[in-house]
Amino acid sequence: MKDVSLRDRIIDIVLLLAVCTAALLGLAPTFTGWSFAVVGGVGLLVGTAIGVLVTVLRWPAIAGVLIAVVAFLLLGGPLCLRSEGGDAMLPLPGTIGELVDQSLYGWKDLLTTLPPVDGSGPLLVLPWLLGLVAGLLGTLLLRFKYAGLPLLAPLLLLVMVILLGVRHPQSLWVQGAVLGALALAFLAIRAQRSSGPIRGGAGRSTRLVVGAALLGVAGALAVPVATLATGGDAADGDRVVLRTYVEPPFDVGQYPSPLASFRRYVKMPKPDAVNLYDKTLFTVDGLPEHTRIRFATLDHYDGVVWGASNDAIPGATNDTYQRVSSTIDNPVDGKEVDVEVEIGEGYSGVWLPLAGALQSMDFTDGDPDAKAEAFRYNLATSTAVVPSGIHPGDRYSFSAVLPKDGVTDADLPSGAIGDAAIAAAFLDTQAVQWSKGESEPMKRVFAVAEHLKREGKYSDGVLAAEKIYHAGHHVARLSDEFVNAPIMVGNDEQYAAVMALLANKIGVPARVVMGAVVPEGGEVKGSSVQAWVELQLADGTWRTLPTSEFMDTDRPAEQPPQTEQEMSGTVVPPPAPIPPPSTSGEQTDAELNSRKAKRNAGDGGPWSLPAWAKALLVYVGGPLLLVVLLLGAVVGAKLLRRRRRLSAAKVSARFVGAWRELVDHARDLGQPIPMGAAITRREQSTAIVSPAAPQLARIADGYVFGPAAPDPNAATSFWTAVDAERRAMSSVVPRGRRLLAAVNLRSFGRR
Amino acid sequence: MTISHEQAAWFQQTFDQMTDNISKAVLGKRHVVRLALTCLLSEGHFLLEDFPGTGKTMLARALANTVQGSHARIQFTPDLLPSDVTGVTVYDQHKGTFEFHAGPIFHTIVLADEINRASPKTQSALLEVMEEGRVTVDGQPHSVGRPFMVIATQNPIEQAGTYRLPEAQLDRFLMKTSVGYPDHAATVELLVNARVRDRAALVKPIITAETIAQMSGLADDVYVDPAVVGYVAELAEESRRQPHVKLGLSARGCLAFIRVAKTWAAADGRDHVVPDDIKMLAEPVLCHRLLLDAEAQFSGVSVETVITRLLDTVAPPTDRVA
Repeated sequence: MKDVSLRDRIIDIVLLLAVCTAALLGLAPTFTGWSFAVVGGVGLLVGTAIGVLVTVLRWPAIAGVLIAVVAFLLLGGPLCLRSEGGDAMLPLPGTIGELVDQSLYGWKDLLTTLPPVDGSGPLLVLPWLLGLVAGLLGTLLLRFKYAGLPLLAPLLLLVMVILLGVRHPQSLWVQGAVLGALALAFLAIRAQRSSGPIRGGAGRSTRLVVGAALLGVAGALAVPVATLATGGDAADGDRVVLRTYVEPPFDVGQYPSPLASFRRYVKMPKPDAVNLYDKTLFTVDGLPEHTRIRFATLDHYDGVVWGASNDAIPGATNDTYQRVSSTIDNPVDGKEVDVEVEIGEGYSGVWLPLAGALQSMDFTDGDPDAKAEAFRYNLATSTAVVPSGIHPGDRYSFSAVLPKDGVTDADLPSGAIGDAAIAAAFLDTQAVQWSKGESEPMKRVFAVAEHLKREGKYSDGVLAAEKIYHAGHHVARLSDEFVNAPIMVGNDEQYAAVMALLANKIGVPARVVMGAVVPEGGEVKGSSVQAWVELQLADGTWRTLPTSEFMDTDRPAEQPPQTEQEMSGTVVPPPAPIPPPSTSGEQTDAELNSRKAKRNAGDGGPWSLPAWAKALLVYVGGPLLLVVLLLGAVVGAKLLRRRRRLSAAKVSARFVGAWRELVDHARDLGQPIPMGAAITRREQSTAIVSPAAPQLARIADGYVFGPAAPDPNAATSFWTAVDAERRAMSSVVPRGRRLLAAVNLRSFGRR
Repeated sequence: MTISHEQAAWFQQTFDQMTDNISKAVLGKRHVVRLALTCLLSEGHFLLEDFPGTGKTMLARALANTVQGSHARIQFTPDLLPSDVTGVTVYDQHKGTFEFHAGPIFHTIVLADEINRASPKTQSALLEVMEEGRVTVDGQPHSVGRPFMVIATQNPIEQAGTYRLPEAQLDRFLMKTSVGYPDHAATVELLVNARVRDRAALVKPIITAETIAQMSGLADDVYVDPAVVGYVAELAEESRRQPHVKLGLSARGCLAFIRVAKTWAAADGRDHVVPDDIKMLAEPVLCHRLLLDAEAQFSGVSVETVITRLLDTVAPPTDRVA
């Protein structure tokens, strides 16, 4: 490689840093604030500094990696774990454990958290690590003569940033253009430097014009090319990111459907301890009167219940329950509201009452940290779950956007029909008969709603004469006991369930929503609870079809019909057993808790020592252990290398290995041995400070290039001779030098 | 068949004796002497190029003197004719027949002094004899016998009154080197013994032509591992790819390389060639075979630079092939 001047090296490093920074800034939509850029930038600088140090001192690359590991652990705490308190700033075992933990598992946490994630949280370890690795790698690659090779570092960084990023990045063109231009400039400067001087040919002015023209073409190409490279090529406007494919390990289906317990909210003829009709579920402040507040969106029907699920909407990628940070990237047009909720005595469970499209979330009372960590939100269904549970007395506040609502029979529906249409097969006849000859799907839905309202009667099934009207919305209840019964009788549960099924059957995506309508004063009681239907329009929005559209309040006659004698003949399969709660859904939480528990145990248990012992262990023992481990790794690597050479399958290779062992020992002792592919053993032997080295080189050459195939015993003897010479070489240097040679990394460098 | 260790040891001993003998005349130039002897034992021809007064002729004469055989010296001048070198057929009036009168080329060792002062036509008279060991006059071939060696000296081509040797002629020389000026110690010794006018006369014959032929045969039996052969082939291929090189190493050059390396290895008492032999001999074997383009001179690139770059580019083998 040609010698590069200091000025050129600085230009290379500055440009490389700029390209890496441009790539790193692609994480902007993933994190809130700019802390990630600061931490990542520091990582880049530190990685680059380590790379420069290793290059200047001519140390092998492995030394740079080891230094980078130490730097990562020492600086990671103050840079990335400030949010965790004072001790996290120090390189204590707990801090190191957290850094390692985040390095190993943080990726998963990041990908299963709805972006943008908290820019001040422990996930900052990831940009710190990315920056450090990119800076080090880029600087180390500058050693090679290939002009474009160092760009591998920002390229890999960019790939990681894209994979960890969001599907709809902001400023894609600007970032792509800047990155592309910087990369081209880097390439151009390096390529021009590595090419030979021009003799003859075009004059200076001609070259300037041609160069300017080429730069212009390159700049024009940089924008589209770099934008493609940064992931802007997907036909649907989305780019390929890992979070699309990483399924959040959370099974919302394990939680019981709130619709199945709808009768807890109906008015009872006699006082009932478990009935919630008159009990305060929660108090809302900040929402307009009559606003619908949602408990759960139920988008999956399995023949037994309408329940919540992941991935229920065909083609959608945001219909899973993901972790979210305090702010949520959820762009929706509408009225912004700031809401405070206090849970009353009548509400508990995992479903968190929310309204509109959530923008930010803040738990204030009732173990807020645990709730915030466990909190999951589904962007597509606007439903939130707190697996650890909501309890009376809990308080939280959130900001949301109340989108435009309402639907008419003139609206165009979406065509994304889910599995519910298949589950509604038992409603084929009704879907046709009740459509009154309409052909447009939305008009058919409204015709069906009108039919239900006109023909159906309302009963909660709690009065003595109405107890034959059972609770539930399984297939048997909805077919024989509802749509096929002489008179359709039920309450919100049955009407909403069958309405949603019929809409899906007709071809209009529909789902059931369990929630409440905020009364005047904001005190939501059980009496305010409703189940309604939401229909999806062609623009992808979900609009409310109020209960009043498909359910009347007329009560049935006193004499109930004899439904048992007038079976429709429909073969109804027995209800499928409710699957046991999945444990895999809690896996992430369990892992998280387990990891935290381990860390907490690590922080508290073994450290019940006197303060001086603790300090000694922390400030001396820890670093000492780290150093010992690193040195041990070096010695181990050398032993492995020796073993590999000694046991080479080819006998002649054992001679070669023995000679290299001698050369490596001389290098580790600090002797300047010429290295390189063009250097022979005899040439090296003249530089080794050992009278026997030339003869050993001659012997090795004799066995390797001689006419007879080398004998394994001769190889063993040669190794013995080499080992004896190594000992002789060590014996003439001071003890400290010998110890230093044992852990010297020089022999891992250029061969 | 491979040369035995005992034969290699005898070869080395004899070679060293010859070196010592010649070094009586050529002070402080042991390496050049060894190269010349290697050339002799490889049945090749040796070209010495240097400025006047550096001992080229002395070396050639000393080498000729150390062998018990005939030797002749031809002083090449611009008016020298080919027949002055090869010989001529004349009519014998007494016998009434044409008879061939052999020229000075018909000797064991021929010293072609200042070869590049002769015209190209006369230089070309050596082509056949150097390659095939025979001279064809009037359609009749005449063998010069074995061993046969031409030691040529030439002045640098920049010197006045010189003609550049054609490439075909250069390729017939196994090695080319320069003697160089003696070091301080050798110069002092030379001056102290200034009364000895003809130092070459100090060299007495110590080896017969038959022994030379025997040693040549032994050198042929030195083992060359395929890895080393591959190294030579790679050097040849790379020499043709090097910038500024118009003419790279030919197949004849590769053969010469291997032949010389074998002799050099035997002279070191070995029964095998090592990559160091190739590296050591690269310059004398390659320097007159690589032809650079015109731009090389303007760029300050010399043949020696190219050879150094070549050796740095092509990695020698570290292990045998199988």
